[in-house]
Amino acid sequence: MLAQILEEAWAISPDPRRDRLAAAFVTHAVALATGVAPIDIASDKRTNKSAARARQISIYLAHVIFHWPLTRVAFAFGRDRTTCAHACHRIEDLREDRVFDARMTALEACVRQAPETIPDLAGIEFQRAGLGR
Amino acid sequence: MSAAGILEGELEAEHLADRAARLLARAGSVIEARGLAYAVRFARGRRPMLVIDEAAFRKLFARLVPRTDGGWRLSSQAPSPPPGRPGFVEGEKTVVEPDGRATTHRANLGEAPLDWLLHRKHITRAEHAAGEKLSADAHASGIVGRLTMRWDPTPRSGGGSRLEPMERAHAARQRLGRAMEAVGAEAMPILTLICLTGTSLQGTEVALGMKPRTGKAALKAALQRLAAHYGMA
Repeated sequence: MLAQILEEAWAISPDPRRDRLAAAFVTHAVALATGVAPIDIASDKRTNKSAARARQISIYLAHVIFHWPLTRVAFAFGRDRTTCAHACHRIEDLREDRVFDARMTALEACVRQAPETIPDLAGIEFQRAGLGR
Repeated sequence: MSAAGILEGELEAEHLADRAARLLARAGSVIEARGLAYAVRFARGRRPMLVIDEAAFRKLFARLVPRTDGGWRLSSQAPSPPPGRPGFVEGEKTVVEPDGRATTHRANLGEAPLDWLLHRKHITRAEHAAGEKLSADAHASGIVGRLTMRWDPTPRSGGGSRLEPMERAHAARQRLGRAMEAVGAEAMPILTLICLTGTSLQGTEVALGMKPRTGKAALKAALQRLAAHYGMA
């Protein structure tokens, strides 16, 4: 049963833990950009309008910048696939406004190079490097 | 429509075209005609992400490549330059004047024969550098003469080389003379025409009366001797 669940998870995304971390990175970047607290963006309950908007922006970024399929985005953010599709369409319609589009482009540029440039230190033994004192 | 209105319309069309291109960068995305407008989708069966109008599509069209199923996708190559002058690439070249300023002037970046050959790996980087040094020396020695004023700073007391600009030009002329002597009498006209004047290979062959397609080998031999003289090999 556990193997079946794991297989379904791996079919959606190659590394679910790293995906969750990447989604958290995008959430925090959007929080810095919009001024909404990351806890509000990532919460399951209903929140106010600005938090919902920020959540939609982070879902849009994950879908459009990272080229994740909607299933993977939904898995990483803990939302429904159709909700994520709706979020992407809403933000794309909001981008008709020039000012918003310019700010989104700047935010995209920040988020775009992040997961490639952040190195993967998980394999290094920290004790040997002397950091585990 | 006023001129400002037309410009605004053009800017908006460019903006929409850039948005569509950004969305089309995703693999598998497609733009299709739908009614009087064009729809950008991430995959065939989904709702369109963006709908653009005719003007924006015209701006985008240069970068699109048609698909077999209908519709277009973004091509991976850069759009081809406008036709007219096939080898001509307009650009700015940075040149260091003898008084130390680095000025840019308009130059044809597409036809510098040394860069062309280096890019296609017919000459090595050392030979290319030797050719560039020769042309820099010729430029610094002021053989061709200058049209602009001389704003060379006279060296006051203090650090740095105490050479006056005249001494610098004289030293460059001496280096040029020594390099030409070291290279030999057969290679001197080739190097003058290609490095200093910037003629193409075919132009040098015609000008010197050489057999066609022998210029490249002759230039490579000359550049090798030049690089050996400069100690760059």
